[in-house]
Amino acid sequence: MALDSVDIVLVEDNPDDASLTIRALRKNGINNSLIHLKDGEEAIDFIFCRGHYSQRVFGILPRLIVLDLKMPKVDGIEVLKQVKSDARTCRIPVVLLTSSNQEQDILKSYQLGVNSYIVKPVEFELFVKTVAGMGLYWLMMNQLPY
Amino acid sequence: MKPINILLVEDNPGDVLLAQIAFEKSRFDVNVQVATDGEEALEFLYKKGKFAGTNTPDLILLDLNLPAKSGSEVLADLKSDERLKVIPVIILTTSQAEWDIIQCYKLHANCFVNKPFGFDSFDAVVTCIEDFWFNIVRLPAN
Amino acid sequence: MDPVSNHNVKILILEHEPDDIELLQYQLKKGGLHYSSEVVQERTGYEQALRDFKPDIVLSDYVLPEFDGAAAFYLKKEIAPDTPFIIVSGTIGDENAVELIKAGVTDYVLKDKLFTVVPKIDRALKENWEHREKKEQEEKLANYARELERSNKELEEFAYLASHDLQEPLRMVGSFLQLLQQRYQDKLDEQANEYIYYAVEGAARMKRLINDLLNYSRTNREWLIEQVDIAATVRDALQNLAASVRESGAIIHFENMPVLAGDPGQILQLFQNLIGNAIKFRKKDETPVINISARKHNASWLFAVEDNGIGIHQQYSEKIFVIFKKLHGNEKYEGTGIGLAIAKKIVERHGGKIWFESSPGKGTTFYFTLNPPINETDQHPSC
Repeated sequence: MALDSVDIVLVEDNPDDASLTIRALRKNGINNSLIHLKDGEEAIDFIFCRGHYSQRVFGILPRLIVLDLKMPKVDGIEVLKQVKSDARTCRIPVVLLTSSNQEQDILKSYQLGVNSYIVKPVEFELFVKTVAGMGLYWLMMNQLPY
Repeated sequence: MKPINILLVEDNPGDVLLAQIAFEKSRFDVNVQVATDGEEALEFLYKKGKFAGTNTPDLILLDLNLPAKSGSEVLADLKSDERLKVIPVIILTTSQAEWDIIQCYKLHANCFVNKPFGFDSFDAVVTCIEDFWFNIVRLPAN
Repeated sequence: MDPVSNHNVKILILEHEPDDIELLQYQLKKGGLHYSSEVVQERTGYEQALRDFKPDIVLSDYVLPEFDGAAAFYLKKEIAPDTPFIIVSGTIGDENAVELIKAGVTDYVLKDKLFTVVPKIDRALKENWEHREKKEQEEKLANYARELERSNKELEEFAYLASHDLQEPLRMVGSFLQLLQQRYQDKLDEQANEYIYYAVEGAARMKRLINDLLNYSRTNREWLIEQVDIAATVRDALQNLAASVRESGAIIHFENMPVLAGDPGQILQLFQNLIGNAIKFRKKDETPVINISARKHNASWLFAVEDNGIGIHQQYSEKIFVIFKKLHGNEKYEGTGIGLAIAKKIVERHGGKIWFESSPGKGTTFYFTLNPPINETDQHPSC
């Protein structure tokens, strides 16, 4: 897969959740190119073309970032903060997909400009439905900036 | 479950009526309030004058093409207010201009949706918005 | 029109020797020239005559008591830059002559060959006239071009604004007609329902036209430069065309697509229009196969979109790129006839060209080039 053009960036440290998310998207016909990154540090390197991803071309922005909140090293809030405060990247929609339903996390995320905050349902089928709904809403219904 | 408050900022009475008809059929308990221009929308949100005592909306549907204060100006104003910025704003417009889309995202619009042609499509869009924002998304508590 | 013989030539003579003046006048008359002249001998009179007498040509001695022919020439250049200037002198050397001609003096006449003065005047006036004609033509043409560009721009601006503003009321018409149709169907008779049906159809078609017009005028209004991954763009185009790809069973090949600088939205539209056309104008009894290829050609990229469809007669080669021009009726192939006009505009906007080769009944290949623009500033609004 060409690293320069990735539609969806999925940042998730739990491999089970990640593969479930990807499966749910694919099952619903969302076949956009996707990269799975395992923590916030990798996400920042990828989005801003640094470190391991310094060879990437910055010009092509991902269309959607799906972000977990609680992650080792750099957490989701920090990634959100950096993406939304940089003029070059602040137009990329960021969706939080997290198991945290704590009011302070929700409020903080909306304050930092998250585009939507989604709590991962515990129940398997509901999880699949939620991810599918998220994917369809953001990639079909919504007008995304290039 | 308490009702969901929506503020619809829309100057075209036809569009207001279409939205009301579509929300009437909602499976959610929705309370739609209307501001017909940008100034009124801000007065509503700041609960000024005749809007004293109104509920803070859970979601804002914002048209871009408004008389006097435009939709993007309203967006910029409320997204720079610490208290109001957490309310998700859905841009609901006929504009498909790339420029508008990018500018709205840069001003921290939560999403950008086109008003479709025909009532059925409009109805479908409203249902889709409801399903996503009221069912899938966690909105911040007021 | 003969510029010389048909009108009275006004000659300004700068000469201080009375004998030379007389000889010159004699030669002018002898040469059969219709002319009137004014003779001046020094700088002030010369300057004034240039302004007031407005000569068609200046004949000047080279050696003058107060100033010389060269100075007289430069003075003329300032006051009457387009007027031919001939030096009449007995003493001018070859070197000086070359120098003066280089500086812009029209010609020179030696006093011992004064008989050449009339032919030389004739030639100078003729050349001058031709030069002025040409310059006027060029100016006129440039003016036309400027005017055309301005009115085109205005027209486009108008089309954009009009179509944008037309959307709103039309959406109202369409939406409420549809509501009427759904909610009052039982209360109306069949004829009323038929009327509503045609009104809904009309509104829907107008909506498509407006949309296309907007897309068309948008190509000039908006301009983003980003790195565009063509492979991903083609995939996006196919996703947007998913319904017709599925329905037609079209097979689309593309490989080795480059990444280049351009407007991502416009390039997507370009591929979408060309692939969409290739599918739309397929043969009824054959699976559509579309091959997309690219190769580097100097600084630009040459793309080819090849199909096995119904083909286009070469006689339509220009027409198909014209806005709202359709070769087929609405019943046969749906559409507003704007897709290729937009494609052409996008390609031209990217410094390229678009053309096609086709054999009717066998298929069509559209070729286009894209020149990645250099140093165009990205015009995103700031955060």
